[in-house]
This record gives sequence, structure tokens and C-alpha cells, in this order.
Amino acid sequence: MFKMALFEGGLHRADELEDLVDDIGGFLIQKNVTQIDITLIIAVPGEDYDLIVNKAKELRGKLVEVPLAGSEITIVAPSLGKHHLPHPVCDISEYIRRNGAVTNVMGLARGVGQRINQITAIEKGMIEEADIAVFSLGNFSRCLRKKTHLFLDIDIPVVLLGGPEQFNVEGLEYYVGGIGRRSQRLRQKYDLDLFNKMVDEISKAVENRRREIEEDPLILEPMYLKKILEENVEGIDKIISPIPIVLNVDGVKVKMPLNQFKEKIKNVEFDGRKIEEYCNIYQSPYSKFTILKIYTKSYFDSLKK
Amino acid sequence: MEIIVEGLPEKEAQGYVVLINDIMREFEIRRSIEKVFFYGDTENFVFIASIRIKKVLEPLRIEDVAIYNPEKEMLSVEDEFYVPKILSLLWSLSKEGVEQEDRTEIKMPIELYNRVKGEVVYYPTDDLKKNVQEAINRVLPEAARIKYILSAEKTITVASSENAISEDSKKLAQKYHERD
Repeated sequence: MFKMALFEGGLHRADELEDLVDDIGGFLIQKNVTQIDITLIIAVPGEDYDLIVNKAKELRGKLVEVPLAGSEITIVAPSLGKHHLPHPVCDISEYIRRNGAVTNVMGLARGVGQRINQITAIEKGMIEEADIAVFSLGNFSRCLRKKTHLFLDIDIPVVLLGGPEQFNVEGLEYYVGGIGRRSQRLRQKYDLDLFNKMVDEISKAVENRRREIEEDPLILEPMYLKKILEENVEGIDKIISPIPIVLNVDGVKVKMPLNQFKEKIKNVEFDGRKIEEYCNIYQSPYSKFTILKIYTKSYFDSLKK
Repeated sequence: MEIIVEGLPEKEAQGYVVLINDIMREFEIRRSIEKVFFYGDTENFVFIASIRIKKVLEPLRIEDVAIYNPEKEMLSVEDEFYVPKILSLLWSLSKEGVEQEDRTEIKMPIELYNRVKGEVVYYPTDDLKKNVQEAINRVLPEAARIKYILSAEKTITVASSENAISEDSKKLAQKYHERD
């Protein structure tokens, strides 16, 4: 079982940590260098985690476990207006990122109001490309109740954030109260406690999603696939996005259009088979990125037959 | 600044007090406001915000914001914020002899200065009212785009909804507008 951790420290000798992660069979999920500081998100085997802790201590860096690493989360606001952005949506996004997830922020075109709110099929499709959706709605419980159709029809797990302390509606598993409409940065102790509660709920949602997948496991871990692509596909290192390959719970997303990508992975092989045999490769109709969804073991076996 | 929220359950009202406070702080108008009334009816989706301004500021005249030197025939303006307003006023009367020598220095004949020194160049209350209006728009829910606005010297009241505003809501807005 892998343990995910976030290392923050100086750039000097950070490569020693990267080498150690590689030596013990771990993975480097994300690497961000800002001037003389470095932030690494790593996945290492649980039994060797102490080695990493000791190395981080030696390098005078900070190492924290991040439960959300390896997942992509979309935070959805009712609109992109000043009423909902930048607070609290950007603060929520930042806090989730600090816990290892890759986040996307989106505002619905017509998500506001009680009677007039609506969500389009395109918006739903965009949200469903991530692993978890976090809906940040307002203060009034009556309004939340009238907006359930925005999130109850989404195929991925949804975490709802709203003003009322309690909110129960059939079909909604995860709810965190106390985060409604806000107009200031959420950085007080009380806010951070709420954020911790939110991360706990999101972690539960990610964990449940992973458990669902484990019932019919994937034939390849997304982290392995990421490594194979990084080592064999030319041009990935030249993608200017800070995270060229985004890890999902059931696959990866490469920030390259499919027509370029398919050409490049044509001859990449793993364990005697071509990459195309391990996963369904398609282009996102919205972002034009390439999405690789790894086959489950049962599906893979049926294909072989 | 006093904030009174009515019509909402206690917890939601508390949340709105915090929200209103934060928005007023963002617009830097807390010190100029005496009272804020907010009424919310989530069932009919009607929201009313009514703001009392503390005091109405006096309009500023040219002689309040600038000093004239008769020997040099030069008007020195305290803040360059007022310069475009003064220049547009002067040029509307005469362009002869009026020249901007520096960012805040305007050369002009003494006769012209005597003619215009009592003219109003800036109404501070107008700016404050604009900010108050913006703040009210931010406080009210985004979907409540249909608005019924009442404005008096020291009070601005806005009733808003996503539906057409009923006569009852208009009457209620009037009541909040006249309330002490």
C-alpha cells in the first residue's frame, strides 16, 4: 500500500530525496520548483515511509501526509460572478491543493437563483472528467434544497459545501456546513477547522471511490502508467503546463491533443503489450486533452478471450 | 455601523451579518454608514437591503480644494484628483489664458478665478452613494436581478427578486425605507 506525502523544502540536495523515492520503488507524482524552493508530492511503499521521513529531516524540509494525492477535484461555483469568486471558492481550492489533489475551478453559466438555476450537459460532462466534484453553494437551506438537481445527477461522488450546519437530502452522501457565501479570505482558526472537516469528507469520498475500483481492480496502476508515459513519450517534458500528466483514480490525463499523442505512443510497449491494449484512449471534448482510462481486470480478460 | 437582519432563521441571519460586515469593509464605507437593514424571504425569493448614510458631506468648491496665487496668476490644486474636474469647468467657460503648467498647477487670469471660485467641483455624497449602491448589489443574491430602488438624501433601499416584484414587496421596501 502506497503512502502519499508532500515535501516542502529547499532545492539544494532535493534530488537525493527523488533518488531515494525511486530506489524504494516509489513514484514522484508532482514536482514544482519555485526559485530556491521545491514542492514534491510522492507516493512511497508504506513499509519504507520512515526512510523518507528521516531523509526529509536530514534535508530540513517539511513532510506531511496528503490524503488526496493522485486525485483530480473540480470545485464548482454557481457562477463566476463577484458574489462567489474569489472567496470562498479559491480558498477552498488552495486548501485542497495543499492536501495533494489537483484542482479545477469552474463556474456554472446559470447556477444562481432558486427558480432560474440550471446546469447544462456540457457542464456535467466537464465536471465528470474529474474524480470528485465539490459544489460550493450559498447560505440558505431552502435554496440548497431547490438546487439539488445541479449535483444529484452527477456520476462522480459529490461533496456539497453550504451555509446551514445540517443538510440532508436523499442521494447526497457528503456535506460540510458553515461554508456558505463569504466575502473575505477564510484564514481564521474557525475557517481552517471547517476546511479540515471538508478535507476529511473529500478523503472519505476519494477512499470510497478507490474501494469501488478495487472490487474490480485496474490492470495497471495510474502511477505506473504515468511513469511509462514520462519515460517513453517524447514531448511530455515540453508541455508548459505545471502538471503535464494529471493522475486520476482510474487513469491519467495528458495535457496534449490526441492527434499528437497517439502518434507518439504508437510503439510504446509495457510487459509485451502496447499501451493501447491497457487503456481506452480518447480526447476530452471540452479541454482537448488526452484521457487514458485504464481497463479493469474483468474487461481486460474479456478482451483477451 | 449597526446591522439588522430580519426574516431569516437565526443561523442564516448570523451568516448574513458577517457577510454584510465584510462587504462594507471591502468597499471602505463602514464609517460612513449608520445602519443596514436586510430582509430576506427565501420562500418568495425577495430580498430587501436598506442603508442609512451617517451624514451628508458638503459639496467641495474650487476655493476648498485649491489655492490661488494672484501674483503668479497660478491655481495650485491640493490633489490631482480634482484637476480634471476643475479644467473641464474652466474650459467650459473660457479657454483664453487657461493653461495647465504642471500636474496640479493651472495658470488662469484673476478675473476668471473670481468668477469660478464658488463653483462646485465635487460632490462626495455622490461617490459614497455609488459605493453604497455597489455594496447593496453585492449583498443581495446574484440571481435577484429584478430591482426596485428607492433613494433619498440619506437612505438607499433596494428590493430585489428573480421574479417580478409584487406590490406587497414594494410596500415592505417602502416601510424599510422610512424606518428609523
